[in-house]
Amino acid sequence: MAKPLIYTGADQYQPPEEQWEPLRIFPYMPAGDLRDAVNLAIFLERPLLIKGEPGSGKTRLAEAVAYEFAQKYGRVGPQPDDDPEDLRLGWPLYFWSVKSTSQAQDGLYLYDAVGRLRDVQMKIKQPISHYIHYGALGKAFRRTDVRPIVLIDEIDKADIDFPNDLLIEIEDRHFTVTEMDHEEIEATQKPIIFITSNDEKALPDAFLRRCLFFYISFPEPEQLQEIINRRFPQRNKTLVNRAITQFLTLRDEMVEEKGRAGKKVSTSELIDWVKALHRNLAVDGNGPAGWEELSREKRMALFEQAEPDEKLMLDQVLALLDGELPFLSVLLKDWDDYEAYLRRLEVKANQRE
Amino acid sequence: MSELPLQALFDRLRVAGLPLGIDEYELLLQALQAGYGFDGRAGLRNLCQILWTKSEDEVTILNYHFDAFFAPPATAPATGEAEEAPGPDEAAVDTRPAGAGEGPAAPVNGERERRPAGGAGDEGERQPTGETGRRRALAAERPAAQVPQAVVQLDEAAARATRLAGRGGDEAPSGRYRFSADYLPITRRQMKQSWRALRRNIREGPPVELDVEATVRRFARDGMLYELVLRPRRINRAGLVLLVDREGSMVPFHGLAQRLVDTAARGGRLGRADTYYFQNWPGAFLYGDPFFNEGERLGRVLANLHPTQTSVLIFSDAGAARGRFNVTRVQETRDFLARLRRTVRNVAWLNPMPPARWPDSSAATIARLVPMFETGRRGMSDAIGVLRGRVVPGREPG
Repeated sequence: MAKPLIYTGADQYQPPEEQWEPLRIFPYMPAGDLRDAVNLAIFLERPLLIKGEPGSGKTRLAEAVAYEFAQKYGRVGPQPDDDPEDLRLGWPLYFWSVKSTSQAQDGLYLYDAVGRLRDVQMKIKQPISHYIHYGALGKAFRRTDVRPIVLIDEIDKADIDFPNDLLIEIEDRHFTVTEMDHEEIEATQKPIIFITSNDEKALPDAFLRRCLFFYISFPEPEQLQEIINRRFPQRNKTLVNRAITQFLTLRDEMVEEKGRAGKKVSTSELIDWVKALHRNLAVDGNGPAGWEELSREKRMALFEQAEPDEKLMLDQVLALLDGELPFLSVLLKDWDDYEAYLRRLEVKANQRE
Repeated sequence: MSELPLQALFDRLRVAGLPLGIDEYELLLQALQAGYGFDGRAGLRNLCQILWTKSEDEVTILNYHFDAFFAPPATAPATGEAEEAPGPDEAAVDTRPAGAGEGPAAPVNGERERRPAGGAGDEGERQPTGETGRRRALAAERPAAQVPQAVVQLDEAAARATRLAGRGGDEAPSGRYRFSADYLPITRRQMKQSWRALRRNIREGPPVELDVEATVRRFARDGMLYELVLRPRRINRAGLVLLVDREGSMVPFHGLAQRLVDTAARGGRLGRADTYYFQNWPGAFLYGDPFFNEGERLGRVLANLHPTQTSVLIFSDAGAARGRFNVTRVQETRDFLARLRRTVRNVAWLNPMPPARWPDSSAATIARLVPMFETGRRGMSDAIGVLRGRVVPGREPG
């Protein structure tokens, strides 16, 4: 095998800002132990099962690894089976988004029997391989130049037998295409397989045994700061820090109220929220006319629906961050959460009086 | 005895219930050989977590044992209580009569002895602490036969002290207790798998699936294919009615009952699954909710059941929990079953109490009226076999 692949998450391999939107790739700050887990999975040639709260960056990890490899080891061109999307980051990343109806076979290949029947009728002659459409694992196994990355996203959405049906293919890295005279497809480049799960269904033991496991925990405050600073380098530092503080308070309250298991505000929601707060922040000017006379409700409404010419000044936004938070709908997705939040606000207001 | 790195920790985790095999151990060796896990104790712990755990709960177990296993070096630098910690430990060793080890410590002696060789990753860290040196010196003074024991007891005591000292931190409480919902005799997954066996597949609905055979036949007959032959999809029409006993002696089994209800309703892939509740024995009314608010006449419930597609599973202790024989219970149950069987062919009973507790209670008599099984993996699949129409050996079909 060629030189070993190592994932570092280092600064020089983070995507520059101009690539964020077009490539849909953003800086990714892995904790040290997550980096080790990725490298172990690559080295030991085992799938890495990643769990964590929703919004903790489980899916983003595979993209970050693919991007870094393209930067470090050189971009790789497509192979005949590939879609442009597979090479979006310059390194083969085969994304398999599992649905509740997904079957293990979907990941290997699909045979277009009806298409073939139609062509036979029309007297069109095509080799049988024309009717074989490879799935994420199929494409990865057929790749010959570099070790591709496969992301099996949200494996727990599928039926409970789904993971078991994949066992042999993942372990032995080969499968048979029955329609092509039982042709064997065997991986020459061992794919790097990431599997994410939201714990909606328990995974079978036999499957777990073959995976390495990592739980992405919520980042420490400093790490969170780093993530946000990376993501919004040009944004106003005062506002960002205030937002993070308020966010962490909210999260702590939710943890206290709902315990470890409930849905809490996550990193990805913080990112959206910081984005929303900045959308209506003016660089200069005085803010909307007659601001001083407005009630808090009016100010909030104005901020949340600001037109381009009536953006708020930093002080005005910071003032709104006391009390009920603006753009709450970005953070709280559940009516119960919202109610609990209002209750806490009231308690706090009473305490102050 | 061979000296394998971290084998004692590995054994300890196996005893603690982590599903580890030789394969997992080899993974660790491979990783160590490749240079992983050598960046201090945290790195080694992280390595073990990645390789040996599969869930958050298992991470907690591993952390607990890992910390206990490597406890001595932690006392000195980390908590700053080096002065206090050894005090009671030494006292503990000195006052202990030679050879009369404490129960829990004794069995691990052999493994503990090998530990210094095992701690490949933390060796560097361990050496410089004066404390360990002192310990070793202390151990060396003892007669040879007692050395390992003394070390063990020191370690155990120190580990205990560290854990107590660390209690103030916010990590400690979460690692101390672990809430596990899986002490029940049958897991959620096993239940789902059992429900899957309850199938009555019928082709029904709009024709959407390609009928290859019929298409080929038509192709052969006409010489040209004008139209594909489609047929309806197979769907599971198996209906299930769960009758769940609530309150009274069934209170301890509410969790188990809820799991049955949940798995049948979701993930069981049943055509239809309805649940009704009753107390002690099903009578003229069944209830649609566990709090007995939505009563429904038995006649109405029965009228809605499909005679061949629906089967009925009763979940109740049948009086076995209290172990009494109750004539009314038996008679009422007999009447109910007779009435039920006029409508539905397949009826089975799951009893949360083990069969050993059935004799001399109403359960034994009721078990003669209806196939009754223990609530476990085996019992549940047998019960579902009955629901599918299998005849229980030695019993007349219902």
